[in-house]
Amino acid sequence: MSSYDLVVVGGGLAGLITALSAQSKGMKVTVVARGEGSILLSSGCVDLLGYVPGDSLSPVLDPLEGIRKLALENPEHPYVKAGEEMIEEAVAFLLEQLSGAGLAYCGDIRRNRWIPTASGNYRITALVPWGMSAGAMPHDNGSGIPGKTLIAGLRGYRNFSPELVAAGLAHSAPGQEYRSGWIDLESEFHGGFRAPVGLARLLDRQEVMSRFISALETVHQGEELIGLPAVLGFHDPEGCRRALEEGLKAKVFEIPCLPPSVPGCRLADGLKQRIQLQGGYVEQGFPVVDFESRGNQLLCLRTEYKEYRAPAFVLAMGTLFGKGLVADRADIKEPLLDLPLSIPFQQEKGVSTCFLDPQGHPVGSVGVETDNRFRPRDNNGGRSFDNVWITGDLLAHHNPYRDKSGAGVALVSGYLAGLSAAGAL
Amino acid sequence: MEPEKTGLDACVRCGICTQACPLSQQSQNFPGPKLSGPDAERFRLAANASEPRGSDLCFGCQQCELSCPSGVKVARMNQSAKAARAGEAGLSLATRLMINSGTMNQVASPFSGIVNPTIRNPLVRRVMEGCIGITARRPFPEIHGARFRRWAGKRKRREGKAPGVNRQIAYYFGCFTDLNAPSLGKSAVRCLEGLDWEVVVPPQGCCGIPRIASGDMKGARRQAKKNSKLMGPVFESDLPVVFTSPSCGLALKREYRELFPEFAGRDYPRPDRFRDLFELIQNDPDLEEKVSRFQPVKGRAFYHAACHLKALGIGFPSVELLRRVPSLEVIFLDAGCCGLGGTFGFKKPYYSLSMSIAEGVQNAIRRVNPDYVLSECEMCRMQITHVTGLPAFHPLEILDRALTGS
Repeated sequence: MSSYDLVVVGGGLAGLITALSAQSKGMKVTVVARGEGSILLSSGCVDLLGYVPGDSLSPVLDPLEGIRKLALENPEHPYVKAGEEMIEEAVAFLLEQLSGAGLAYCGDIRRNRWIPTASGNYRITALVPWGMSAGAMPHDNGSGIPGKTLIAGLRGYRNFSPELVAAGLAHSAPGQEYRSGWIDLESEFHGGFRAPVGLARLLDRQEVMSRFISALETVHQGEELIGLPAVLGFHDPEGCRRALEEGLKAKVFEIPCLPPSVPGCRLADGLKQRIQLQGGYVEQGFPVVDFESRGNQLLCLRTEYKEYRAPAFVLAMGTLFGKGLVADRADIKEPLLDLPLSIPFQQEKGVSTCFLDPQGHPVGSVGVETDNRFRPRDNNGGRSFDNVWITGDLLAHHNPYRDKSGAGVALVSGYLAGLSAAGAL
Repeated sequence: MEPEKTGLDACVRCGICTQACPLSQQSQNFPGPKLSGPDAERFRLAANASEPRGSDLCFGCQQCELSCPSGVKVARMNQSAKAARAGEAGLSLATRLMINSGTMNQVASPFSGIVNPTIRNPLVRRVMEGCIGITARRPFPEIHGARFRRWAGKRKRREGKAPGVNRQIAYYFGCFTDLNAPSLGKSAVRCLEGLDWEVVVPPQGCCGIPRIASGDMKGARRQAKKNSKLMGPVFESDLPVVFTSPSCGLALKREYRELFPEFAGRDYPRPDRFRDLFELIQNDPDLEEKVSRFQPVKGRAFYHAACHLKALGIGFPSVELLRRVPSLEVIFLDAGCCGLGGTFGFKKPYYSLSMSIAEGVQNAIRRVNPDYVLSECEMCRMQITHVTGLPAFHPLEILDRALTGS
């Protein structure tokens, strides 16, 4: 029988961080996922806290300050259960892991950034790949990116409209100059079906990058800043960006596009590689469908073709998308272990009639009830299992979609659960 | 109407499958698994729908289905699309020849002394490329005169130790072992006997996976039926069927049941009857005692996970086991598909594409700088040696050394 110290179910940010955290304490880990995790659908940025829930949407300038406010209203929030010290440690841990994976990120827990996206709007986030940082808007004066900016699209890459981006940014920050243009790179890019990661891998090749620079030179009219779709290299995005900046004598920034995103892919890949290089495993493709337990001990989990026995398990499957929760009109359930959930709404009132309701949709807050170490609670206030932890979106008492806190909660809960499972807390 | 859980209704159009597809990363001519699969499905449900152009490029790596977060059988849909196009447009000469390579190799085997130098001859290869469309730029595997099948028939079977405990297994060796690498089969038998199993090598035929992957469903059905008939006595028993080639394993364990229910139906062995060799060993109740027999094997190995191995859903048992061999360093980085795709990279128009796909694995290997590469799949081994120049072994060859001390 394969022997693991910890089995993590779920391959998103929560699952991967849990694995890395446990590995840092010497545990042998495998991550079992039904498919790719939702990191691929993200922008590649790590949101800590974007908005504090209220009557209107008020953005958070200082995530740590925002978390302190949150604590007053919602003492059951995962951030509050973890505590400030753990949050800071988790952020430092992530940055260290990313750096080890060759992914340079910047940002801090005291200052959110606004970065432009392919929709022509800004998104609020905390930790950002270096490649996006030159495009970040200073949050406190809404004055847009200082200097003249060229937003350039790539002919053949349909999911990025430079006109839309330039017009949108100009609308958000009037008084700044945005120009749009198109780069025409012939052959490899024209009229094809190539996936964005494929474009990024093409730009890893020096010969293609040189032609890209030459093509960009014909469009560039001396602007200080150039915004490009986030496809600038896959294995060496920093190298690509440096080559562009040297070639164009301008600051270059990536703009995250429609999912699946290249920066998301880089992030997922980087974290998985670290798990593997440290002797762990990532097994994708088969959902966990069955389990065996004795009293308060979970003994094993089963997929269609394999059984996993371990002393400790972490559930990080997310909610409706990852099927960590399943829902129909009448009911929401945790389908694997049937763990008690917090469901903060009456039947059929889980979704607001206003799509962008500032109070969010109550269904976003559904999750598994846990103690302060993220172990699942039973209906009597005790523990359902002694050797199971819950991390990420599957946790109760937080609404990641409304608060823009999904990645942060995944990170902090994963980090804490990994340490707890390793007996290090 | 109940929404279908693994088909069109389950797909949320996230595009993750397309991102995972090795062809979609390197080619602009393949519509991608989403377009060829769930997107085109609504047209298929209407009669007289033609498949998207380029959908026949799919070589069946299954990474789309493994990456789908919603449980959609994307690979199965792409396979149907490819089979439909094969039905409409027919198969190329190169494809038709290569899916018959099992038969051709059997015919060539007694003449291997002449055949091998012939198929190595650059002029012969250039003529083949021009006339048939098989690339001259990569070598064919050698054909052996002394087939594994013959050796297996003549060998004296070693009885499994621990009488009373059922330690009998049936070995499914596959065409490549039989005709191109008989020593691998001997190594497998030696390892299994060395770990106290009694190895039965039953009558068997080609598993049919080259035909399945090419879209020749009629031919695949014929071959699968023939193989099932030969394996009938083993299937009806309760012997585990142990395989060493992941593609063969995938055909037996899953494809037969899902594609050919008319003869691989209710009575067909359950998936857990079919075991990868290392999966079998990892599930031995006396594993610890077996591991204590391992002798040191000094080396730095890079393990490459074959697409079809990942599709088996058994994890990576060879890595787990070999990491317990003293002095051996096994580094495992999943860098995607090696690019050979069975017969795909042998075809002249696709050679460059197969080499582009290999770049990910090539970069990972370069980073790790190993002495050699390990992979269960013979195709991956061929491709990786071709791309990197490094020797590539089946993990069981290392296990053999650990057990025999050679």
